[in-house]
Amino acid sequence: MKKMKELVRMTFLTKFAYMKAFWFNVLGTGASIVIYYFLWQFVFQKQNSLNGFTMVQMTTYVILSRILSSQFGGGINEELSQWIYEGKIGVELLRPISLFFTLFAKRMGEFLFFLLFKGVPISILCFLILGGTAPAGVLNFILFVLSIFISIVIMFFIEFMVGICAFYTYGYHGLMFTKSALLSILSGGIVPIFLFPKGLAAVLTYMPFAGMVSVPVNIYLGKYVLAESAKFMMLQIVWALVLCLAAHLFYGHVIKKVVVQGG
Amino acid sequence: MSQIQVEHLVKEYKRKKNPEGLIASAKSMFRPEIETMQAVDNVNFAIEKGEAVGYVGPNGSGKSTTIKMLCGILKPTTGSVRVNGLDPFHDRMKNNKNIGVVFGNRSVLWWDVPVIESFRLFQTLYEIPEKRFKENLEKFTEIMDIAPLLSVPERQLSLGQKMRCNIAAAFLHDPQIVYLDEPTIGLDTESKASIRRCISKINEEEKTTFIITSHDFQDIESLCRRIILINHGKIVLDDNMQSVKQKFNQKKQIQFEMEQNPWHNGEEFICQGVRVMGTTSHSLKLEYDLEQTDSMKIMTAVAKGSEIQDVNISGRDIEEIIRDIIRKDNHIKRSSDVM
Ligand SMILES: Nc1ncnc2c1ncn2[C@@H]1O[C@H](COP(=O)(O)OP(=O)(O)OP(=O)(O)O)[C@@H](O)[C@H]1O
Ligand SMILES: [Mg+2]
Repeated sequence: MKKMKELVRMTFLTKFAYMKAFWFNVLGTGASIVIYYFLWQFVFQKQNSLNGFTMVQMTTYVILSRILSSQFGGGINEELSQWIYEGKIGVELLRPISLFFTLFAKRMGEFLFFLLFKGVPISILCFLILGGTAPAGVLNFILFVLSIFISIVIMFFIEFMVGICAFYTYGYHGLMFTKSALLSILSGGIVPIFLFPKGLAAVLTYMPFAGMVSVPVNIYLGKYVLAESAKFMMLQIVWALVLCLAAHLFYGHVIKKVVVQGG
Repeated sequence: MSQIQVEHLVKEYKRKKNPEGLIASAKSMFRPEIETMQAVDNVNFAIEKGEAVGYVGPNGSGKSTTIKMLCGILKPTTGSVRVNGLDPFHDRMKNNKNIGVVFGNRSVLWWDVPVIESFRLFQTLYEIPEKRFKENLEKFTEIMDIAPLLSVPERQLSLGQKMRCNIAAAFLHDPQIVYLDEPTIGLDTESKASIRRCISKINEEEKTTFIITSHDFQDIESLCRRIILINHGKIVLDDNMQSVKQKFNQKKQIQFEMEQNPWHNGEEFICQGVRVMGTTSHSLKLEYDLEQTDSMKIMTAVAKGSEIQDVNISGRDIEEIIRDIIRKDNHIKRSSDVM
C-alpha cells in the first residue's frame, strides 16, 4: 500500500511538471462541453424530451460524459507503448515490483489527478454556468462514484492491452488515436447509447465500454432503478475480471517474445 | 554451485530483411523475409560470489544481449541461466531485489522529478530500512559527487551527471550482484577514476559480484581480475587477467638512454632472445622474448658496456592483446566460412 502511495505521488510530481499542457487539455474539454451543449439545445428547441431525457438531464449527461471520456486521450497505453518501442521496458522490468503494479499505480495517480484538477472543478463550473441536475439521490451519487472507480480498472486493462500491441506494430500513434476514438463512441461518450440503432444499442449496453461513461452517468441521473444499477455494476466487475485475465494472458504471451531494444 | 551459472546460452534475433527497391519493399510488407542471427551462441561460464569479471568484445558481439539475459529481461532462446539458484526470467522480481543494474544508455530514474525523489521511491520499493538508506545515500552521494544534483530533475542533467546518479541508484539497496553495461560511457576522467575506486572497494569489502562490460580497457584492467572475451556471440577467452597478460604478452620492448652507445656503428649487441630494433649514438632500442630472457639480464648486459642514464620498458597492454586475439579469431572464422 505504501508502495502504491509513493508511486501515485511520483505520478503527481510528474504531472505537475506539465501543468501548462494540462491547462490546455482542460480548456479543450471545456470547449467540447460547450459545443455539445449548444448542439443539444438545438435538438430540444423542437421537443421537450428525448427518450425520457429532458434538456436539463441532457446537459448533465453532456457535462459528465465529456469529462469522463476526456480520459480516453490519456491512460497508460501511450507510455507502455513507448517503453516497448524504445526499449525502456527493460528498465521497468528490473524494478522490484511487477509491471502491472507500476502501471496501475500510474493509472491511479493519473485518475486522482484528473479528479482533483479537472473532474470535480470543471463539473462544478459547468453545472453553475450551463445548469445541470443534482444526482437523483444520495445512493445514486455513491454508486456513481463507485462505478467510476470500477471503470478505471476496466480502462486500465484495456489500455494495458492496447499498449502491448506496440510490440506488434512498433508504432503507437495510430493505436492511441484509434483507442481514444473507439472508446469515446462505444462508451456513450459522444452520444447516449440509446441513440444507436436498437440492436447495436442493446449489445453496447452489455459491453465493457458502457461501464466507462454510460453506466455511471445513467446511475447518476436515476435512469436505472436500483436493481438495474446493481446489475450493471456487477457486469462492470465481471468485465474487469475478464479483462484482467485477458491482459495477464496476453502479457504472459508477449513478454517471452519482447525484445528489449537497444544496448 | 556458483552464484551465476550460464549453460549453453543462445539468443537468436529475428530480423526483417529490408529489401532494396520499391517493389521489393512493397512485397515485403505482406511477406517479409526474415533472417535469424545468433547474437549469443552457446555461451558457458560460471561466476563465483565476489568475483569481478570483465565481459569484453567488439561492437555487436553480444555483450548487452548476454547481460539482459543474466538480469532476466530477455528470454533465452535456449540454454539456461541460474543466478543464486533462480531463473532470472521466471523469478524476475525475486531476482531483481538482489541485483543492481546500470545500462550506460538507459536511466532507471524518473525523468521529471528531482533525483532524490527517485532515490526515495527506491527506498520504498526495495524496502530499504531508513538507517541503511541514509548510510548508503550519504556514501554514494559522496563517492559519485552528486550532492548538488539531488534536487535537480533528471531531464536537466548532463549525460555524465545522469550516469553518476544512475550508478549511485544501483547500489542503494545493497545488491549482491551488480551488472554494469558500459558504466563509464560519457564520464570525465575524474569521475571514471572515482567510480573505479568505489567499485573496487565495494567488491573487496562487501564481496559484491561485478560483471562489467566496457570498451575502456582501463576500466576492465583496474577492476577485473577475470576477463571473458566474446566475439560473434561465442566465447573466445575466459581467463585470469594476469595469465592473459603473461600468455599473450611474450614480447616486450626496452629502450636505453646512455652517455655513449658502444653498439652504434660498431659491433652489434648480441644477447639470447633479443633483437635490436634501433640504435643512435645515445640510445638503444631492443625487443626481447620473455620466454628466453628477462629485463634484468638485458640490463646487466647493457650496463657492462656503457653507462645507462634511463630505461623504459614497454609491453603490449591488455587492449592490444585483446585486439590481436579478436583479429586472429575473425581470421579463423573467415577461413572456416570459406571452406
Ligand atoms: N532488437 C534486436 N533485433 C535484432 N538484432 C539485434 C537486436 N539487438 C541486438 N541485435 C544484434 O545482436 C548483436 C549483439 O548485440 P549486442 O547489443 O548484444 O552487442 P554488444 O556486444 O552489446 O555491442 P556494443 O559493444 O556495441 O554495445 C548485434 O549484431 C546486433 O545487431
Ligand atoms: Mg552493448
